[in-house]
Amino acid sequence: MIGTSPRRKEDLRFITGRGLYVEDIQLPGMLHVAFVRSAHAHARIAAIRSDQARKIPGVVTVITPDEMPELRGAVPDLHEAGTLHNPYCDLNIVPSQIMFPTVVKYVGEHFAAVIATSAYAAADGLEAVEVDYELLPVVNDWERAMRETSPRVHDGHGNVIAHLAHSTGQLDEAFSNAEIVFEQRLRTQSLKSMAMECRGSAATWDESAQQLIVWSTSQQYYLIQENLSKVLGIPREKIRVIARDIGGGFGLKGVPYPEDIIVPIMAYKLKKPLRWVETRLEHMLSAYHCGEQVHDVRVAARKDGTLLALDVKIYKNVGTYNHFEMVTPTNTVNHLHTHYKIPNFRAEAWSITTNHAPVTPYRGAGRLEATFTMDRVLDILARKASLDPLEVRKRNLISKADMPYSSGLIYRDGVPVVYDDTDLELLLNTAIAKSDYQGWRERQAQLRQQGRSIGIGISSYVEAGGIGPCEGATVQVDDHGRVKVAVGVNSQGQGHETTMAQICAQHLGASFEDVYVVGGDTSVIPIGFGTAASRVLVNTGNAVFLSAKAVREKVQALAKIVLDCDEVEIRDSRAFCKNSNRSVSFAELAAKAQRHPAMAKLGGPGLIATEFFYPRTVTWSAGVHVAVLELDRNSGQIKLNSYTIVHDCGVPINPMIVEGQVIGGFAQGLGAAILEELVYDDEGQVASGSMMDYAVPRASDMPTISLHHLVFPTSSNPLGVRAVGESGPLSAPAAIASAIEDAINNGATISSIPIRTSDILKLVRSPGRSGSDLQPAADGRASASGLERSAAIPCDAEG
Amino acid sequence: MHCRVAININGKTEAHEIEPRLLLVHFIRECAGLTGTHVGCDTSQCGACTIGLNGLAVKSCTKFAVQADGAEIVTIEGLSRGDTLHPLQQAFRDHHGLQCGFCTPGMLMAAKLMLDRHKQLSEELIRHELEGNICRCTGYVGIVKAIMAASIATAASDSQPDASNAIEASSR
Amino acid sequence: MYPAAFRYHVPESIAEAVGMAAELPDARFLAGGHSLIPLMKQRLAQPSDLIDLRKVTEMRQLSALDGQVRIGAAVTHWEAHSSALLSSLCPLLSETAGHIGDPQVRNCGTLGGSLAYADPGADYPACILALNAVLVCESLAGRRSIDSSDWFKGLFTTALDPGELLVEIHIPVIRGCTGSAYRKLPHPASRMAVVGVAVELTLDRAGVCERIQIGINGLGSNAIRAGDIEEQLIGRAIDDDLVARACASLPRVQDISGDRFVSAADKLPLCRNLIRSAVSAALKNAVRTEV
Repeated sequence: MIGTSPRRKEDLRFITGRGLYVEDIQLPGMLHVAFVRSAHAHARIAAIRSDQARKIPGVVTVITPDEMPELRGAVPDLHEAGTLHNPYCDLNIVPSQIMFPTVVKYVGEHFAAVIATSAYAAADGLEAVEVDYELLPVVNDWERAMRETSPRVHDGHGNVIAHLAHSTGQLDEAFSNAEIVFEQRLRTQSLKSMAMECRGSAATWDESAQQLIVWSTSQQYYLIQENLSKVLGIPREKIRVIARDIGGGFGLKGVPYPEDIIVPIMAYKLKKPLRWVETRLEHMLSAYHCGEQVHDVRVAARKDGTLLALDVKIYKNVGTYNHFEMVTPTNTVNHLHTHYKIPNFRAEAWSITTNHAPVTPYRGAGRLEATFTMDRVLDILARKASLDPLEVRKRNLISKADMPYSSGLIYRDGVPVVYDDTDLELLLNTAIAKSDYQGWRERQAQLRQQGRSIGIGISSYVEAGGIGPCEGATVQVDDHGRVKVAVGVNSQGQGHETTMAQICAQHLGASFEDVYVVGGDTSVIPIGFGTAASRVLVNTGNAVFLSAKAVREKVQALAKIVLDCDEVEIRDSRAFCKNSNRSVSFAELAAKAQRHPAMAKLGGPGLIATEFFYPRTVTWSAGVHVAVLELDRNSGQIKLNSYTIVHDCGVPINPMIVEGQVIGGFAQGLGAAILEELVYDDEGQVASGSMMDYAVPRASDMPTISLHHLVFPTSSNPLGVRAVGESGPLSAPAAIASAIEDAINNGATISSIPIRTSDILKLVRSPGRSGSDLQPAADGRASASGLERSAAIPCDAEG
Repeated sequence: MHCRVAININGKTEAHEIEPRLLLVHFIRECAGLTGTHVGCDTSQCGACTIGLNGLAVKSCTKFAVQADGAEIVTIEGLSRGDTLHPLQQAFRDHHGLQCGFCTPGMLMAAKLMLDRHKQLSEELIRHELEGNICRCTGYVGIVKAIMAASIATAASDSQPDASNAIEASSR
Repeated sequence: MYPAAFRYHVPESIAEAVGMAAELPDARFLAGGHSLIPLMKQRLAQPSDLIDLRKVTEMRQLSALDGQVRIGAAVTHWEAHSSALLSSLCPLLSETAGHIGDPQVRNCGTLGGSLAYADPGADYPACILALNAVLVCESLAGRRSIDSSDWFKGLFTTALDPGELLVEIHIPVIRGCTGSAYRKLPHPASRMAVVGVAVELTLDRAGVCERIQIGINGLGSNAIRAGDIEEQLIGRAIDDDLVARACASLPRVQDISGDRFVSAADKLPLCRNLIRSAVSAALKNAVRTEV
């Protein structure tokens, strides 16, 4: 079963329109919530006048902090202030976030709510709420925010709220011995995950069960249960959070948002069923984003292209709050080495608050930034050493002989980073062969003679995934022979109902058809840690394996008694007596297991087991991308001729789903490379605030992808699986930037993403210019609408 | 001001007193209770709300229900015949044309009307015709494969009238 | 997003529609709704009344008469794109229609709606300038015809008076060796034209350009004709070098707007590329028609 691609179990409800997303929740007497949100990036709310709003037909009430004082409290912190277990971190301030604040700190921050009989009436009410704002200075630019003289986002401390540092080797010595030294600023933009479903929450108080039932779009639904329990002072078991069908998440739904608990709190207090569904325009302002990150690198190398040292300073614009301590910069540091040896290394990072919406990890979470930085460094080095970019990579590659390879880094779980059970050389060589790298180099030279600009780019990534602490799974066979797998995670499209069933079917010996998976509901298993950080397969997958194995042992023991034989074989949901034709079905065994006295020694009645899997540390996946494209120098347009991905994620449970993850992830990486950016203007207004100007890839934007799996099972977990969820996007920006630079072929460096038409045209015209001179964010700051007006400037780009 | 609107959805007439401002997608979801049709973007970009309206693919978030008074609508719930999946539904499942499932009803309806309109589909034409539908999970590869497969599967049995002739006739 | 309340009217004739508009000063006409409804959903537009034109069948006619193609303003982009009549007599319009938005948008959006809204990134405006179209409008005061060159008056602004309805678009049918093309650089998100160029040209038997009309959208606040370039091409045998040289005079637009993808300065060279590409395609068409 493992390694095959059965059709997904969850598909049937989705392709027939029977999915149940939060917006589909309809309850008798349900009221609709609309949040009053700040029009300004930093302001004191002097007054909220809701009299007119209350008069509007359909408006039931307007909830302000005066109306419901509980909402003056803080959202429970995601983590304690301090350095936590982060091995690099020496400063970590966690400003608390008030549910309905009196000082708003970003455009779109909520501070009151209208409750009405329909979403239309709620919108009418929203329009009629009058707010007096006292404007406060806006902190917009992370670089200015770092200065002592800058206005502050939070009272009581400066805008630098977290810091980390780590080093290995002898950096200064390496620089003094270097033949090549260069510096470069590399920038990655802020991105929105742009899941097709926006956020939402529905909640009702069940009077008879004395239970608060919540439907949520959160990837971290246990945290919502925990936070509600803390704020409302009611036990966790009185709160049931359901978050089953979710229209994509990609990390953005992984942070517990204030609205996630405010809607249930209001439902609990008002004893009315409520539903809030975020609109896309609301989402663009108030749902979180990944945050701009800037990397100032200093590189030392020998003239033969061997890297001696890398010194990197990372600046992270975290927006208003600091929900995920230093996760993203820490991930960047720990993924910077990708496939290469950096004998001397120093990294330092700062998290800086601004009056932008808070940031949260987005698919990749610092890894895309690391990959972009490292491959840009290698491409610049190749030019300085007059070597083919491939040659530079080969000269610095961590070889098979170097395994197990310790980079001197420490993962954020405190465990030293070690690459093992993998072959990075084979990954690179396969990608080079499959992409016909050498053939393209030859064609590139020929086509250059004809004035055509072909570009080839290589990028290599690693993905650490599967962080703990643990996950559990309960496997239970019922007297109809149906096998239930209950898990403490939910799916935003990953296909857990299929992959977990495959693992269970294989290791229990059940028919795949008999197995069904339930998750995304706090009532099915009491503790879970959420779907994030590519952790579900490693944690939950192995927990399912352990539970299935435990149930199989019970099946085996009971079957021996029931069939009266010494040895039984289990397959297709039946136990067979070896050397005879007697057998018994799982259904019959499950029925017997309820009352059979033999179960006393087998852990109690029923064919049921719950096991937890605790990973020792993360697994490391790896891959190589090769992009080949053609650039039209006149128009600045690129066309991808071929795109090759070679990757390893250990044992693929369902190759079809793995491919879906890698290719779908690539599409998001493509968006990051050339299309997407969340832009804030000087007033802290969002300048790319709808799908009319925030561009996500469409079908016609996608190239044909040649995808190749290499399988290096890991010995670090029983299934031999590695993470795959975040691999897809990591290399796309680096490979495409590299290929565009190669096509431009005039010494120009692309140092910032997204790479837009005008960025390309500027580089084509300006040999040797660095893309960082473009200051990409500045364009969008010209005006709130993102439109920039200027007189016609004669300009000749024809080449 | 309320209006009485009657719309035939998947063969069943839904007659309701509604405000003129009610968007068609909310009529389908809230009045008819058919929640398969989704809202994804507010600005007519994403196509999650795509339905068939009098045989044309339409974004139901950019139409008022009153505009569809007397119309015939097909939604995702009307795509299969009983338990028999439409070839497109089967193909989406076979080719991993969906992950989170949120864009899927709109994708399937856009694909259905694409098949109705174009006798012959190529991969390039499919990608062009999917311009109005955004998927954030799949990278479209499975979707394009699925539509291509369904197009081949239905080609033999299908004898759809030429849609362009039908339009020409209706505009006179 | 949820629009504000309005009153809804469904007239069955042009006369009835303009009569209603005269009575209701805050009313808006509703055709395909693909510009108006998104604005209403964001509450950037809150008309008191909507006058839905869906039952005004006289605005959905397509005919050829007296050397003209007459297109009802409520003809949808898809109808225009798929019309056999238009593709034979006015191929530039049907080609352009196929570039607008996406299939769902084309199924609803109308020619008249696009021209009346006059979005600088819309595709039709360049096309009707290149075609020398005449726009027929009706109000209680009667009918009047407006030349396409007088239609666009700035950002989202046209020659339409309040209460007036664009009912029909007339396009002269050009005989002889005529070719046309529309070329566009779409915005990566909205898919509107960053720059769009529509060209129609007629060659004499010797291959000399008798007439050429070039419309451009996306550059400034409204679509423009590239008259200077046209002048340099008329009476000449056109080749790419000549077009490239003529394009140097482009344009006299003073209010070019850029965005994050394409700066204002880059729009000019991109526009020149599109002109060259559109003229080249139109020349190929023209030759093919003659044979």
